[in-house]
Amino acid sequence: MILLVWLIFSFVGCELKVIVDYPGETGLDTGSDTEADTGADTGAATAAADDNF
Amino acid sequence: MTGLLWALSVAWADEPVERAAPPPIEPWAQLGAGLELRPRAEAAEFIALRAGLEAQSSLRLGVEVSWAPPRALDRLGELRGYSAVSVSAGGWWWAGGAWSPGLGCVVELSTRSFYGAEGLVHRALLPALGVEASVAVPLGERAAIVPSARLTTDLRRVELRVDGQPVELMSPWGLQGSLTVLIPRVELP
Repeated sequence: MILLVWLIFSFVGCELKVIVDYPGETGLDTGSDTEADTGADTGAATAAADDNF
Repeated sequence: MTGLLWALSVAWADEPVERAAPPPIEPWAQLGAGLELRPRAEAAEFIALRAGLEAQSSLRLGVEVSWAPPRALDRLGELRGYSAVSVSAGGWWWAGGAWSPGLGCVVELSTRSFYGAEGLVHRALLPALGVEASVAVPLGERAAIVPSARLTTDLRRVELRVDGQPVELMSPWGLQGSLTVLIPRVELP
């Protein structure tokens, strides 16, 4: 019985594929952030914050 | 008179002995929580409730409902993920003994709600199969505490896309670990 259910579901699984399409920007983590970390603090964030005052 | 009594006693003695009645079919229930691991997705806790009937002294048939809250999908960022509600039917065979080992097999129908930053994106119905190994440790007179491990596999593939671009196939494999309370506990001769 279980084998039969498995066969039916396997057939359905082979025939059908669910496509989930998220809208908008990809924003994906591609893993391409390979730039070496030089440890240098550019201070850009601090400068931007200072501009707000 | 004596002859009549003798005849009645003989007739009484000749009546076929009634067969021993089969043991009554007992209901059972199981409630607990666990953690599901799926490749390339955040681990998610879930709550599960099972109930059913004891088909034989060692076999319990039942239905399970479980709910898992939203979890993120690794490659799609923290704001994209899915939650799941599952209904399963299966059988659990218990070996008996002090720490009764058990083996279960379930057929599952899972509704997965895929969401993004904008809310619900897609709802999919996915059949799955699962096998489970458990141990029922007695907890008092009536209950047992049951640690379980279950391996499941989806029977439909899920392709994840962002803005029309295929990103990856969702892994069909899931591994669940759970801790449930079983009432009544497994008692076999």
